[in-house]
Amino acid sequence: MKRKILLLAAFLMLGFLLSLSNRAVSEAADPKFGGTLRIAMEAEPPTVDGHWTTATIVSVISHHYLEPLFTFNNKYNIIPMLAESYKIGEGGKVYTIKLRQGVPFHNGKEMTSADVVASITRWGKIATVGKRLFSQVESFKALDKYTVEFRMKGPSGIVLPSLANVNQIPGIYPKEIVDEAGDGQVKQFIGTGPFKFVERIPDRHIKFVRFDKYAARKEAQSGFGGKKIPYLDELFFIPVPDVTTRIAGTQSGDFQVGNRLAPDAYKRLKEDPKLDPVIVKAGDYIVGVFNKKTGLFTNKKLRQAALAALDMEAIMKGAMGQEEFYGLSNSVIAMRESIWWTDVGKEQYNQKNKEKAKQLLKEAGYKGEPIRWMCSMAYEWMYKSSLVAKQQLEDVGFKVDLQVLDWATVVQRRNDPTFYDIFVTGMIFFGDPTQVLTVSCDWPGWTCVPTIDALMNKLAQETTFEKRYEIWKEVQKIYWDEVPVLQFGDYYLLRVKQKNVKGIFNMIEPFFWNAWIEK
Amino acid sequence: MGYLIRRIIALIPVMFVVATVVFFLVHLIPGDPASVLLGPNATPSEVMKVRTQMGLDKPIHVQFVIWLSRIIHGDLGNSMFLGRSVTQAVFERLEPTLVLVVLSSIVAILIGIPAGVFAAVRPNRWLDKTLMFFAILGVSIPTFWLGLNFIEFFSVLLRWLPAAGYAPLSSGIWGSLRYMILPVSSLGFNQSALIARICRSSMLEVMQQDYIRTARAKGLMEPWVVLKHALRNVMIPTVTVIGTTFAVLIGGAVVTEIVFNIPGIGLLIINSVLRRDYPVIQGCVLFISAAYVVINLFVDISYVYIDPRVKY
Repeated sequence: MKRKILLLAAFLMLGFLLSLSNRAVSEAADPKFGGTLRIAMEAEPPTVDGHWTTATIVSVISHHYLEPLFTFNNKYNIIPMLAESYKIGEGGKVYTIKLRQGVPFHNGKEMTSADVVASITRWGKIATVGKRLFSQVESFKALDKYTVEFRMKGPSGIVLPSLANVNQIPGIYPKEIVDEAGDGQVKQFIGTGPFKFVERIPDRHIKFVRFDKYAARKEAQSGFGGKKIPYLDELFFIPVPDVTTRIAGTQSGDFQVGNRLAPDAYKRLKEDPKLDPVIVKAGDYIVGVFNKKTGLFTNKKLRQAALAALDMEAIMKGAMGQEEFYGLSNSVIAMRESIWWTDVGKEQYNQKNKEKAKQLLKEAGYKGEPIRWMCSMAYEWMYKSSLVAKQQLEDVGFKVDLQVLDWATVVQRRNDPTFYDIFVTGMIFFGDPTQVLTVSCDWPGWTCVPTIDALMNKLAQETTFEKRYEIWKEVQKIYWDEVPVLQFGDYYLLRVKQKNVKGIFNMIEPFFWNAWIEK
Repeated sequence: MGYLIRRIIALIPVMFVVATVVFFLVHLIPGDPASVLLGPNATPSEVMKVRTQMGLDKPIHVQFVIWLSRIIHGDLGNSMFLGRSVTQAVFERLEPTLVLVVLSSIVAILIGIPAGVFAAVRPNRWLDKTLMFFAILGVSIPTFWLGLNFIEFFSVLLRWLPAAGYAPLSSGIWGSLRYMILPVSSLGFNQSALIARICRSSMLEVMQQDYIRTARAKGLMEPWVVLKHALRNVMIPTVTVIGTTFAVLIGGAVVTEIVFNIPGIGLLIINSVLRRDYPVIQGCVLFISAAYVVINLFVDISYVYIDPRVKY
């Protein structure tokens, strides 16, 4: 009898425990509305106008209130966002885009084709990618309240990738906001996004609140698109330029997310039971960009000599410190998941062939002229990679004059070919080959190679992916022969969040529309 | 009164010289706000377009005349990045900086003066040596190092106080003070050390004076001698140091503001220099110079009350 009672008690206890654990599982799995997220960002953004700048931090912040017509899914394919559907006609000359109906702006007005035409036209005048797109556009107009049409000068393959641009987001503002802005920045930050802009107090915070009337898509979330749900009541993007303070503030619980932290902190953060550190492979890589307009490196042999000399593994280890934070790849579009990734030209990458470098130097007729190498300490990896590369180049006979400047000076001087021979910078994710800067003739460094230009024009006009991919591989092959830049390697980002924050999606940058806080 | 008017009039040429020097200094250093604003992917032609919009393509002397004529009308211009006027940007930062500087000065005075006095009363004894050990420590330890250690201990380990940020006074005194305890302590400790050392050396000198001997000879108790006769005479150099420190901190609590992420004037200047926000740099420097001159004026006026022999 006693045993039976004990058995029964044990069963009851087991049942109780199981029900508890089930509840715990369901609580962990079910997102909840409410709460405030404080995100420690690396800097104060120069603006909150998503059209205005190519600065990544502005893209991260503006994606929360502003939405484009198209975007990327988690495989980096283009999917509609504010567009409902699209049709390509006349052999790639006409793009007819149907808009979603019933999508409200934060001011209550419904988004229509008038807003799309006004916004995209403005973006086409301001944005680097927009200008390139509009150089091919014959006309862009509204056909009816929910339809817009691009009529191109010839067949074009860049309409959708441009409209899905991540970095200088072609977001849709209400027409009156665009009109009010004139040639300047928009004065009111109103969009259709899941969060509503509340205020910007520089160096203190940028505040968003949930947009209750947000019109979400039906499809499951994928990448930047699909169903977005603003679970959080409030979002604060807080500029915390000092990386030590970003780390300490997340550890102390003042911030729930810390962005762009120093790789050295990884071990310490991993040991903290309250935190989840995340290494993000965002498609970023380090490059030393040659000045090909004037000076020493107009000589292709000299560029090839520098490339032959370098040991990329050593450079990346020096730049990032730990192996978890870098990768070696020669793809010009570095995101491994991207449909554009390719290793064509890999034999030229990471040669570490000193003899070949010396031979090429001799053939180039190099006489020990100092190479003006510009870099900044704004990002540690820029400086550290420069130090290692300098040493390796000097080992084969180059003479390098390393000029360490602040970032504002580097971005000014790189526009003037009389100032430098090489500058070091980072490349970010490119959604389409036509957006790649280092094969462009109008970006600092000036890669003006007729064969590349011809292929890039062909690529911009081609509409099928398979053909475009073949052209791109051809471009990358020439890129590794011409050596417009020294491509060192991919660098990864460190981000950290409190363990009770769920649903953050970590693609190129962190986004918080489906994030929620476990109570 | 005449003295006051003369000092205020003297402010005008000082401010003019400061304005001129600052304008040319910030424009002569390399770097370009348009390039920073447009981000790393912008092409040179896009940068040129925005430079023209900002008026940076005009010759530097033309830009100077435009800026100076605006200042005469009381307009410091608009920030290139912050979406607001320079005046608004400076006044938004004034509260955190003033709270930080006033509180840390109070902490510094409360620690520094008693420490200096006690050390000087019994020179070269254990109390003097202990206090001066801490004073040398305070002067030697960099504020940022102390601040980081405070954060590590009180915020990360104990989770008692916030690690970074600022809550305005309007959100509640205690809420605001919580954010200030660590920065005020680290900055105050540093400043108190300087005050203690100045106070001690002045006190030592004063304690040798004839009037102190006279006070003792007429039978006054030692605490009374120190407080009434010695301390008041020590106050002139001490107040000068406090005033100068206060004025310097208005624009110079940069390191503390960076470590604790306090959105004050110091952080504004640093960020503006990094992004070459010319109008804000110029506006801040003008403001700080004015504050410096005004605080020094107050210090000078306070001499009259501290020492009746001083007359202007």
